[in-house]
Amino acid sequence: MKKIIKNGKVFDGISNKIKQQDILIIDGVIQNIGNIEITGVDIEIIDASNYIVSPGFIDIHSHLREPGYEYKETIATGTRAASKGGFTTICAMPTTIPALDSKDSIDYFKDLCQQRSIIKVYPIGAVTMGREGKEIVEMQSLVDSGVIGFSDDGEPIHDPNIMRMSLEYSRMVSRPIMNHCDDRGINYRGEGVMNDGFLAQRLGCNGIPNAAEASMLSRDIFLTELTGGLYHACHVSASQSVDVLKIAKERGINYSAEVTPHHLTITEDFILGPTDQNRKQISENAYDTFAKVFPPLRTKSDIQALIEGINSDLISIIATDHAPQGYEDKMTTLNQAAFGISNFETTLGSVLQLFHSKDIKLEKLLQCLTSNPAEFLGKKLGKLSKGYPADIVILDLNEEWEVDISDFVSLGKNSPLQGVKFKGKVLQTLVDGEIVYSDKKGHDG
Amino acid sequence: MILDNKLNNLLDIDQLTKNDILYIFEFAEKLSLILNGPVKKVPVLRGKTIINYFSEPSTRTRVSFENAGKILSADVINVSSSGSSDEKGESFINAVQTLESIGADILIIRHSDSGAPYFVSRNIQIPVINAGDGSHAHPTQTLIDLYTVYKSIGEIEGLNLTILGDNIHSRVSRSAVLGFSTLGAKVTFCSPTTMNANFLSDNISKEDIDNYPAVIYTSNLKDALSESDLIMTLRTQFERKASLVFPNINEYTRLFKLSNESLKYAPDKAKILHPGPMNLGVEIDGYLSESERSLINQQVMNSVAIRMALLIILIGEHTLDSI
Repeated sequence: MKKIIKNGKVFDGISNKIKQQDILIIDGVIQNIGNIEITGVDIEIIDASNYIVSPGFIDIHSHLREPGYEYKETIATGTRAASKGGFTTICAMPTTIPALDSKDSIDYFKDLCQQRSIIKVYPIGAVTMGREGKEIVEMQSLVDSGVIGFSDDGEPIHDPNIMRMSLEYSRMVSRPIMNHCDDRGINYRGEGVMNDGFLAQRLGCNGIPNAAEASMLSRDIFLTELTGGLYHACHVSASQSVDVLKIAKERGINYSAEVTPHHLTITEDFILGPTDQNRKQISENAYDTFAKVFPPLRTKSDIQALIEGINSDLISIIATDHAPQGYEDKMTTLNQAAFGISNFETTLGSVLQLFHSKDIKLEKLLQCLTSNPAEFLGKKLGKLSKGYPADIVILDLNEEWEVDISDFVSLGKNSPLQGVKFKGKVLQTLVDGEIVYSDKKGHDG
Repeated sequence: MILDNKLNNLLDIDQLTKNDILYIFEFAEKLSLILNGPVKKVPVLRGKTIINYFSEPSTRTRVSFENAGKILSADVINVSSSGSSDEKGESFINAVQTLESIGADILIIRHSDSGAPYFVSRNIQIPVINAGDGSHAHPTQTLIDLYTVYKSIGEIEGLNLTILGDNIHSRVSRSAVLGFSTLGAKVTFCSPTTMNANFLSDNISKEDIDNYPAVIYTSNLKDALSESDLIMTLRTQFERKASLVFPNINEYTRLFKLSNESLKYAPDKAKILHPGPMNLGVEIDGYLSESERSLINQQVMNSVAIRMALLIILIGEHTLDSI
C-alpha cells in the first residue's frame, strides 16, 4: 500500500523550517521525504499544493470520559473529534470510573481503545488510588501496563509528602508526575468558580487567584529540584506561574509545562457571555457556564505572559485539556456547573489566531503540538522522517469558518467559542498512513 | 414620564438609569396612596399569576412580594426549596420551566447562587425579578433603600453613603453601590480588610476604573463615619463563612459595631439603614435600630410600594399616568 503526499509545505518537526516536499508512505510508514519522482501505478496521490503538511498533533492532556461517563464522551466520539481537530495521538487522563489507578483498569481501558479508537491513545495513570491524594499507586506496574505519566488531574496533589515521594519514585519508573496546580486553601477551600479579581467580585463569585496556581507550582518546582524527579506542570494559566518556570529554568531544574488553547487566547470576559462582554453593564447572558474551566480563564496580561512563555521555551507543549460535559452538567448556575471546555475541534483555529496576529510563529506552534509533546512521551512520533509512522495532518491556514457547537463530533458541546470566526482548518488526518478524517468526507473517507 | 429602556426583567440596578429609578419612585408614591387608603386592594393585576420561587430562607422579601401581589389582586404562589421537587433531584432549570408552563406571568427568584436569575431569565420567556442571588445583587432592596432616603431626606445627589460591614459577601452592598452612585451619592466601604471587595474599591485596576463607580475603602470606623449622611450596616453573614475571616465577634464588634459611642463619629444628621435581618449586638446595637436616627422601619414599610410598582411595570397594563 503506497501513498504520496505531493507538493505540500512540509513542517517535519526536525529542521523546524517549512519547505515544499513530497512524502512517500509505504505500509503506514514514511519511506522517503524530499522531491520524489513517482514511479508505478499502484500509488495513491494526495495533492497538498498550497497546504501545510505537519506531523499529526499530539495531545498529552485530554478527558475521554469512558469508562464511567459515557454520556459526556466516549472513546469512539472523543477520538473522532480529536482526528477532526488534527490529532493523531492523545493521552487520556485517569478521570474515569474506575480511575486508571491499577493494572486491571488500565488493561481494560486499553482494550476499549483497541476496539473503539480511530487514533492512538495512551493512558495517564492516577498518582494516588482513586485520585484521592492519600495512597500512591503501584507506579511501576502501571508503567508496565503502558501509562505515559501520572496525574490526579482535577484533584491537585495537596499532600506535600505524597508529591515529594511520587517525584522521588518517578526517577525509578522514568515517567513524570503531571500536577494540576491549585492550592485549595487559597482557592476558597476549592469553591472558586472563575478568575479572581474585579469581575469575580463584580459578579459576586468566589475567585480563584493566580496565587493558588503559582504557589503550588513553586512548591512542586523546588521539590523537583530536591528530588531530581520528573515533573510536568499541567495547563499553566497565570502570569506568576510563568515567572516560577523562569526561575526553574534559571536554576537548571528539569521540568516540562503545557498550556491550553483557551488560556492562550480568551479571557475571563467570556464568563459575561459569548457576546455582550461588557464589564460595566452585565447582560442577561452573563454567568456563562461554558466559560467555566479549571484553571479559570484569566486576563490579557496572563495571556501575554503565556505567549512569552512559549516564545522563550519556558512552556513547550500545547495541550487541549479537552473536557467534554453533558448538557445537564452545564445547564445550571455557574456555581453548580461542571468545569471544562470541549476543545479538540477548536484547538487549531484558536492557536492559529496567534499565528495570524504574529504573536507566535507557525513553526513554534506546530512544534508545541507535535515534536515537543512527542519528546515528552519518549515515543517515535511527532516527526516526518524516514521510518516514522505516517501520522500526518494536512492544513489549510487560510480557510475561514465559524464555530458551531452543533457540528461538533464530540458529545461535549460545551464550548464558549460558539459563533467565533476562525482562519485555518484541518483538511485531512492520517494515522499510520490511513485517512481517518477528511474535511470533505468526514470520518467516512 | 417614561422608562428610558423597556424593562423585560429586573436582574440588577445596572439596567436602570437615574430617570428610570425616579420613574419607579413616582410609581411607588402613587401606589402608597392605596396602601394608606381604607381598602388595600385594587384590581390592577387581576388574572395575573406571580410565583415566588425562593430557594433560600427569606421572610421579609418573600412576604413583601406576596403582599404587593395580593394588594394588586394577582394570584400569588409561593414555592420554596424544601417541599418542592428540588428535594427529589429535579434540576433547577426544569423546575423554573415547569413554573412557566404552569402559567406564571412572572417569576420572583431568590437563590443562593450568584447569577441564578440571569441563567433563568435567558431560558424562559416571562419576566424575572431578582429577589437576591448569592453574593451578587439585590436590586429591589436597593430601590427600597433609595426610595426611603429620597422620601426622608430628599435629594440623593452629593450624599455620602458609608456601607459598614461584610461588603464582599453582600448582594445588598453590591446593588447599593450601583444604585446610590447612579443617583449621585458617594460610597465608602468600611470593613475588616478580609471582608472588603478590594478589586471594586481600593485595589481596582486601571483597566476597570471606568467600569465601576468610585468607591473609597477604609478599615477605620472613625474616618468612615466622619462625613456620612447615610450609614448602611450590613448583616455579618455567618452562613457565608464570614466567621472565618475575622478572629472573633468580640474583635469585630469592638472595631466595627455601630453603637451610640461609634455613632458620635458621624455628623448628627446621619441616618441609619439596615437591609435586615439584623444581628443585634454584632453589627448594630439594638436600641439604635429603633432610634430616630434609624430609617430601618421605613425601609420595611416602603418595600411593598416599590415591589408593587415593579410588578405593574413588568406585567401590568397600566402606566404611571393611567394608574
